[in-house]
Amino acid sequence: MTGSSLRFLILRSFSSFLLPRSGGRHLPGAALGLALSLIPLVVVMVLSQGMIQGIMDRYLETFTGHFQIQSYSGSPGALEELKSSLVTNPEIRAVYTERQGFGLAYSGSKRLGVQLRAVESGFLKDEGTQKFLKVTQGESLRGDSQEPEVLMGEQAAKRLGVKPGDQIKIMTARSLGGRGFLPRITTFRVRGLVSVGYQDLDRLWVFLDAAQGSSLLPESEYPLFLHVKTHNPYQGILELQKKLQDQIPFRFMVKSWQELARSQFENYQANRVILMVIMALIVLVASVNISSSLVMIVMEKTKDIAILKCLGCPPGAITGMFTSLGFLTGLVGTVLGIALGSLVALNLNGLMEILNRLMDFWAYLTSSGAGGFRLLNPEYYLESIPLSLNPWELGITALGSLIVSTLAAYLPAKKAKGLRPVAILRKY
Amino acid sequence: MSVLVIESLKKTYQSGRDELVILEDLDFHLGPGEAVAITGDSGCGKSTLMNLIAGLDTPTKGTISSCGREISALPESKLHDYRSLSLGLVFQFHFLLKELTALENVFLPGWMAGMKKAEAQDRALSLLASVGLTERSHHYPGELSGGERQRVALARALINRPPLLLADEPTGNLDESSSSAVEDLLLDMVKNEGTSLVLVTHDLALAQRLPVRYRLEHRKLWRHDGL
Repeated sequence: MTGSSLRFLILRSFSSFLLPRSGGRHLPGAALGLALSLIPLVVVMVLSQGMIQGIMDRYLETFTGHFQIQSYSGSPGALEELKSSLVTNPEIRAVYTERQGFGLAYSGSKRLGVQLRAVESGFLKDEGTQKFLKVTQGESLRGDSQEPEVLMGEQAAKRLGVKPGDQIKIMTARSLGGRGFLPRITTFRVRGLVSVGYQDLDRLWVFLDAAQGSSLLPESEYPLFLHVKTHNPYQGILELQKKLQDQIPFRFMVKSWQELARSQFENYQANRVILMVIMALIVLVASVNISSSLVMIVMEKTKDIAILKCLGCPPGAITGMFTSLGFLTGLVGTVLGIALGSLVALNLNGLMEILNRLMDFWAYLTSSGAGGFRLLNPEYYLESIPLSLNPWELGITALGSLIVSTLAAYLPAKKAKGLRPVAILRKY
Repeated sequence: MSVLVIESLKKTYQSGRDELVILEDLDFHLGPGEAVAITGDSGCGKSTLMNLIAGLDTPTKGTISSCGREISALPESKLHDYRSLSLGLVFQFHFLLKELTALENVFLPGWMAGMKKAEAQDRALSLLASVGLTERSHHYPGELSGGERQRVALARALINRPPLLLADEPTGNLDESSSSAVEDLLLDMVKNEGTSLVLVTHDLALAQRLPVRYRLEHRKLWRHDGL
């Protein structure tokens, strides 16, 4: 059988199976089912990737840095010296000193355990920091203020009931060796409120000036470290870590963001994989639909298969024909599903906003008082998800869907190949 | 070389514990360009014999050879070549593919057998002209009458210039006038194409139009020219 005649048969039968004229009702349904199953897969893929990317970007730029360098010796002077040498390294974009500690903030009767971050003013002006850490009310720290000032996370300020210009007290503790702790209370004026758009990360943050930090947070308990930023934290980070570790004196330890945020990163990735597996199972079920549709077609077209065999159509061509039908159905479903899924995924922020408003409107109509509905609670999710399509992932998804569809067609194709024309034609 | 040689053919079917013997010790020979009619009572095994010759069924014993090739020994993977190039089949029912036009139904077997598409189309058009269906070549089987469908099936059977044409009750489903037209065409075309013909029929009048006649009786073929 010539390839061109087989192609003719495949295309004619495919088009006829899609047309109602020839009773084509199985394949359009199967293609649609596959398309519908791919939409949530693409949406989850884009949504989870955007969410992870957005969260990790915020972690890296505003919290962990791309690297952190700590000193074993506990000498802040040595770290300052190291910082001066690192800023000349072309692979490093910026280096800032930071000291982190904990305190109890209170205002009136409200109190809250907070994470104190004593940073040099350059950190708050850094392009990476500013991309995500937005001053939502008031102003950023000046660094030359005579009065102790802090920049608070929006949620922390909300829980303490303070706004820019208000005063808060922060209690810190200094260890007295084995003799307990010496508390210290310092009054600060709230200069501004900040948010990174991910409340789980910034809900306890209180930024203060580096000098204030050194007096409040003793070096012995809250050692200074270097917050290092490179040009691209997602590329060659391990090689650069090794290079830096070799270049700098042995008493300093370099930790990459992958070590510092490993648990979060792996947790997000694991969740993503689980979601993708569940969604892939839906696609698998949809491809079974292709298989069952083709089984129905084989049953309906037994006479045509017998005729083709009588005309000298080789059994392999019959298998090829039905496998190709599965492939073409998969192709239509995949193209449709990927296109619709991408469309939904790229407009997800807008769609979620519409859903939120609809729910609010419903709550207003029913006077249930359940307004302020949020599909993705900003306490745990990004307030706005960075959405972008990854062509590689989409390509692999499409390829997987096509392979599964083609494999699903194999069983009915084998059944068609094995049909005995004499037994079929005898019935007519 | 003989177009068809059947030697000591036996065909049995299992029916529960019983073995039904349909054909036994059947011998037959058909030369190039010869046309024979086979008649017989219903259920005597005429269609079984046709299926065996067409390679659609396998003999229990004996051999069937066509143009020097023993087709009863061919595996399924090779039988399609035989059906495609050496055999034309016309059944009682037209068995056209309803998704294809008359022209496509006719040229497809030629194209499948290795002809160029244009060549197969030209040949199909010429055959459709021979059966008087030029004007109906782009019609689907559903748009044709029973006689027209059977004429298309006849044209399809001859597309690859097969040395052997098997016709199993080709007019069994047609009314008298259509039947007569298809019979005339069948005999004319077989003569013009130089194809050997094995025609199975109930219709004694049709059988009498062929020079050689056999009757399938008692599991064997008996020459019965005086019918």
